[in-house]
Amino acid sequence: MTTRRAMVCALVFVVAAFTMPATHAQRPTFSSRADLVFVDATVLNRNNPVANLQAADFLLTDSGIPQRVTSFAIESVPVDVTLFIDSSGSTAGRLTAMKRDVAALVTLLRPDDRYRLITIDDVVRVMTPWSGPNDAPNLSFQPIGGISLVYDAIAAAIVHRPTAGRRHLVIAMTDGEDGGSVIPGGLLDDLVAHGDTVLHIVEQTNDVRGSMTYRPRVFFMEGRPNGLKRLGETARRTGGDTHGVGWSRNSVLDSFTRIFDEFRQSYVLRFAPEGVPKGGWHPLTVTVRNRKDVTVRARPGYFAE
Amino acid sequence: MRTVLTILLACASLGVAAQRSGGSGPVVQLPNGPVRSGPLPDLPHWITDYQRAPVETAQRLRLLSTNDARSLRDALVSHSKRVDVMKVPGVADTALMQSALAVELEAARFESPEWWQADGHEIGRFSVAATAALMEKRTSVDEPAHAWWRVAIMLTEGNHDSYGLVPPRMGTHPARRFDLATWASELFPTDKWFALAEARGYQLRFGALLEIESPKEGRVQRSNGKWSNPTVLGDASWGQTAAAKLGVPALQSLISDPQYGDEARMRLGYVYWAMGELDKAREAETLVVAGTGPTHVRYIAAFLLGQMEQTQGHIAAATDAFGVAQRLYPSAQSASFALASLLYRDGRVTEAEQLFAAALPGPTGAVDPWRRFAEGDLPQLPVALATLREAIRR
Repeated sequence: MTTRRAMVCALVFVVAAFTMPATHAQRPTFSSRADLVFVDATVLNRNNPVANLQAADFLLTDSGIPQRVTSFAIESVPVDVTLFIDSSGSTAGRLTAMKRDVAALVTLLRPDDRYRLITIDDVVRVMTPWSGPNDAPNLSFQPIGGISLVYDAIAAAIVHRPTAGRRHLVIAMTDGEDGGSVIPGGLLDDLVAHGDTVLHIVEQTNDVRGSMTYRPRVFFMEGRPNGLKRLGETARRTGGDTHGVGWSRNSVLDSFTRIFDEFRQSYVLRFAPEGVPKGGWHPLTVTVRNRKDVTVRARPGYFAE
Repeated sequence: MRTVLTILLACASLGVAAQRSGGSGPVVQLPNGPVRSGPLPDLPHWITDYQRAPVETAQRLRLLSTNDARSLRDALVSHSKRVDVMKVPGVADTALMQSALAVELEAARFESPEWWQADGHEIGRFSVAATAALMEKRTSVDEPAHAWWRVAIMLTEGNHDSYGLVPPRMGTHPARRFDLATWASELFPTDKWFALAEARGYQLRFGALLEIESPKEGRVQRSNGKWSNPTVLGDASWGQTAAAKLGVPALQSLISDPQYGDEARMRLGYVYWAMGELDKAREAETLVVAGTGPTHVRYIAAFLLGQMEQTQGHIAAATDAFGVAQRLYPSAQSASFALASLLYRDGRVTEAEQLFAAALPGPTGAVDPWRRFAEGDLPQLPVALATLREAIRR
């Protein structure tokens, strides 16, 4: 089901750094104070990205007030990709496959793209620092039972600010089950809403072998239930989504390909907020005028200082 | 009832094994010493070399298939029954016991209810019963015995899965007598380390203490800016409640101890917090932070203060407390992440980014006292083992 949802998703994100890197350095994302707001959107028709739309085709509202979209562009900029492998015990049965998938994913990157690889054990670790697509990932890690610092890892991943002219995408391979993170899920929601990173979750559920081998420590038996559903909501706050994985060997790679395609073919809408209160949470809606055959997923809003 | 029966059976089997220890079978030579009778199934070298290469052993254990783990467990049980593991002191015996414990701890990871409830617990009970039977026969308070107790307690409390090692019938003396720390505390009343370990045992049994989001309140309550409280006694089981309440006087009795008072007070504050007594919790942790105790203890106290304030929506106070913790232990990830996330949300992006980046280690290394909060003095195990070996050698 999540796969189908993902097929009709669109991405929305803020890219103030592209045009105002100096001021962006002083704030988490953007504000409504005479600043331009950048919104990244992917438009899909039956799972296929829709091209050749113009600024006038979009209807964007901020806090319910229609805004004038002053410009837009199709993005084709280099991407920083943070890959997160949930190496906790609950996904141990998928670890070998995840390693294989990560190695394959790196081959999808373009020459100007970069990636890094994050894993977890008793702490969150960077297994591979920012590297080019020709650099092999360091996959020499083992699963660990017990705590599962999924929220901490995702928080550490999303705060990365790419340099001007680049975009940041986080792809997390996890079952969403967190245990022991110091960053609560509610705060993680706040963090992703303040940043301009797009988060996608590629679902990893344990197979029989894994579930028989590893057991979460008793300490965390009262951990957070419905982890994947919970984390999916977090991803959608960034304009990302959760991607289910079927039994096909290539299904994860298919998800990666789809995420990249959508991300690279998204539109960037720019507007100067008018007629809306300053500060706080700004709900957004983005639609395409006179096109009932397309679906737009927009970041549902943004925080303004 | 079944638990008690199992323990009695295990003790009985140990008694039989001890009587047979002078049996007529061929001698089987283990790397660390002779076994009195055989034949016995082979043990892989990385099990018998556990003390020399604990990391390798742990890694290999994790990679075992279900069937291999079962076979190894059975082999170890056979060895444990045949070898006089009760004979303390003895390096070989200690190594074997450690191996048995290690296997049990890994076995506890198996999710199969059958394994968890039967096999995993059986060997856990065997290990505890074996230790208990040993101490019933040997109430020695000599130096090797003292050192052995320390090692045994560190091993059992050092792994969360060892929760299943200790029969969780709280408040009942017949069950508590199998608690290693309680027994050791009675044997060595002047060594407050055992009393602290006993108090920690109550705290560990409370369980789920590290969660600051309960399952029922796992979402941020944006309307009032507060996060949910940790699992408190109102949501806890009877056993958890009893454990927490038993832990309070145990910790209170230690807070004036010059060596362990700071840790006792820090843990007491945590129990108060979990019980919903926030003022007492704040007071205890504040005293520890302002004191001169061990850095890692003051770090945890400051970190706990930050969590308390954060769950109350007092973000400025939480930021301050996490900042204190971060300065006490700059490389620790927990306080750095907690602080950085609040700064980031507050718009202090550059500071937050730097904190996150500095607290992200590479493929190896990194020590975080908070991650050891529930593991007692496990990081001190190598020192305790060295002490044990030295005591035996003399």
